[in-house]
Amino acid sequence: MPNAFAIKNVVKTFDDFQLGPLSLELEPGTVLGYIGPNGSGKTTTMHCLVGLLKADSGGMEVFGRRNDPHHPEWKLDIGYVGDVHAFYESWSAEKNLKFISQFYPNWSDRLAADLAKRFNIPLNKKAKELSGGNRVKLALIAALAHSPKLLLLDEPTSGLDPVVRAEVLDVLFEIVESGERAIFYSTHILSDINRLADELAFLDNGKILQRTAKDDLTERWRKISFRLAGNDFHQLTAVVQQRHEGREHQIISSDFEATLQHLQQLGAEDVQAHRMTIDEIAVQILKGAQHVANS
Amino acid sequence: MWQILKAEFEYYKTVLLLAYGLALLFLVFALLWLNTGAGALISFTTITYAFACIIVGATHENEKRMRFHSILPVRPVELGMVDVLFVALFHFGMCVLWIAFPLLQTGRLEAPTLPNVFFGFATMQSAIAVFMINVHLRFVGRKNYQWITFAVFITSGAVLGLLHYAGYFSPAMRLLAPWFKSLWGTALMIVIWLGLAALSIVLFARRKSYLV
Repeated sequence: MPNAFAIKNVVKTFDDFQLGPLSLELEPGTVLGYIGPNGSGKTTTMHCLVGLLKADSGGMEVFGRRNDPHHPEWKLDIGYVGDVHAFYESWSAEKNLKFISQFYPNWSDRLAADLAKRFNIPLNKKAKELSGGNRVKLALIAALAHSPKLLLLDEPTSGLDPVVRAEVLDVLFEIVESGERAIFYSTHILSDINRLADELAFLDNGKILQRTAKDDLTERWRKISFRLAGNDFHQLTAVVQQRHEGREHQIISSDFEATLQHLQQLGAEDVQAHRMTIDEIAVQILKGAQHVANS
Repeated sequence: MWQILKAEFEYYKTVLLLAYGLALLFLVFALLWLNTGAGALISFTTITYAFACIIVGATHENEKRMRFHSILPVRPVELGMVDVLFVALFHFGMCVLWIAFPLLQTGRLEAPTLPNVFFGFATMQSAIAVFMINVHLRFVGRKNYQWITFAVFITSGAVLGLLHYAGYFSPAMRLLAPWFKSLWGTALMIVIWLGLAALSIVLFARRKSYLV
């Protein structure tokens, strides 16, 4: 079975920013969290994938079909919730959905109605009268009602209050649990992705720094405290940050097993390792990239 | 494509009805009380049409319609055609009034009326197509190619200015005026419009960004 999407050496250049060369693939049924600071290229990647922007070079495929704008059948497999939710503002939510439904043979009015009920969205209201949260929900219904095999979500919960965010995440979690769809989820709200993603890709300044399974990441990264004479532990394997006060040391390791082995060889005492959250790990990875860029 | 065109007409029906209503009012007013020729009606409807187009264009941009439509599984060529067809069909409705006016006023369709109407139609649509071409040129490459339209404008202006300065402009216009009103002049203007419209559709399809 072909990949849900495959991005091959894509480059998109603007006056002050370049995305890529970027290569990224997503297997069917997988949820990939796309993490990066503002301006790192997350939205540009999404725009290229969905055809709102044309890349300068490189190629993209969606379920084995080139994302050729002149043969847009590949878009039938995509559900997209972008950074801007554009609708016919003076039409009701229901009429907007009816308009969109004409373009998707797999569209299910029943699924759309179920989702609207679930989200408690007033379908008779004009799009321009909907709150920010309800606009996101409407965009989600539009993206889901044709049962796409690939969902592209560009920071769908940013700007939402915690209650609405939880509602949206619940629906997304149900979709993830069904395991039928691949989801490419860009965000900088890491708590969202912690619940949903199988894999994480970290992006900074248009380049992918690291891509890894989420569980692997949380298994490998640790905060380690120990007691040992000396204060220069840069030579320690996989240490990304260190602090000390006398003989008391605290380090962050990106490869817990390797660092632990090394510490044991050095004769460290009272070694204690603490798990890190995805937020903490992400900060370290992205900070590391900026440190490299600045040095 | 037809679903989008239908939706656009439905969405802007208030603006369109208002524009047609105003034009119709003027037509009735002119027929009953004004001793005026078709020229006044054409001017009035053209101004009304231009205002309506500005309102539609501003709404289109504010509501990010291009972005909305570009996400749908529709070919860019078709989206470009929707833009061209919408303004042309809207304008064509006004042309019907232009034709109706002399017919109602004199009871017959005078010989130069039809070519006149379509010459005006094609000229206005050509101007709109040039405007669309200018907008799309900003997005067809990594660089802004709008300098092409500016260069064409400045060159045309300079040539016309030189002709005027040399005293050739007015005689040339007098010579060409009957030809503009002729069937051949109208046919040529329609061909020019179709060429410009086709170019604007091609450029739309070649845009590198559908975000604005």
